[in-house]
Amino acid sequence: MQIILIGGGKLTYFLTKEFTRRGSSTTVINYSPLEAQTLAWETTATIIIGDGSDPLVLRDAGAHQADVLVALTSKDDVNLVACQIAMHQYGVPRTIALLNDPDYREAF
Amino acid sequence: MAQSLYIVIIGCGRLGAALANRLSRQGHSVVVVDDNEAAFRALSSEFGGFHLVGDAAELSVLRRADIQRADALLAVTGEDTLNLMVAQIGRTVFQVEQVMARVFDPARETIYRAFNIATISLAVDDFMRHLENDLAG
Repeated sequence: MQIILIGGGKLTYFLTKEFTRRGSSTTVINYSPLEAQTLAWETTATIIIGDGSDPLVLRDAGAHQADVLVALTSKDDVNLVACQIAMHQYGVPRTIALLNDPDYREAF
Repeated sequence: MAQSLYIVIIGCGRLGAALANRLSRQGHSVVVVDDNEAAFRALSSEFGGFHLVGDAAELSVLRRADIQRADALLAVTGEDTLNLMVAQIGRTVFQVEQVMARVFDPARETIYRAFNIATISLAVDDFMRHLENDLAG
């Protein structure tokens, strides 16, 4: 299975470790070069430095072939737009967005 | 725009403030939202609307701006993703009649045309118009 994760922090780190351990081909998109470097050292995933809501970055991450995209940043708008671009532009069958503001549960 | 409309503007940068000042001068009720209080200094002294400090990515902030009552919603912050999310929330959750989002990156713009969200990318549109005029002339 091919998985793209967008974001950083512990949540992204542990999910990346879990997915790679299960043998999924995992790519992480992280905005911070420093955090991306740490992730690259500590996991076996492919790490891309960039904005996950940018269609060109998603293309570089292999969105065309991805089975799942999980957007885990602390910004709801970035998570939503990344999932929508992945779904509509690259045909990713399953996308999951982290909602930081619980009020959006009803809205989405 | 003969009658007075209720217009919510997200983002009080150069574009947001200029729109707010002009629409207010035309007699419309305007609310401007920005998460930076200092941004509202760009509003002119004749601006007769309201301003609201808050992050528009928060649903409660949009509710406080009374977005459900708005005739038009203009999402003109410096962040493409925020503009696109607010525009979609305005359209689908609050059924605002006229919704516009400013988008800087043309690569993002294409898919939102499909969602029926009107997007404005000023620089590209302006350059193209001038270029086409020059070439035609």
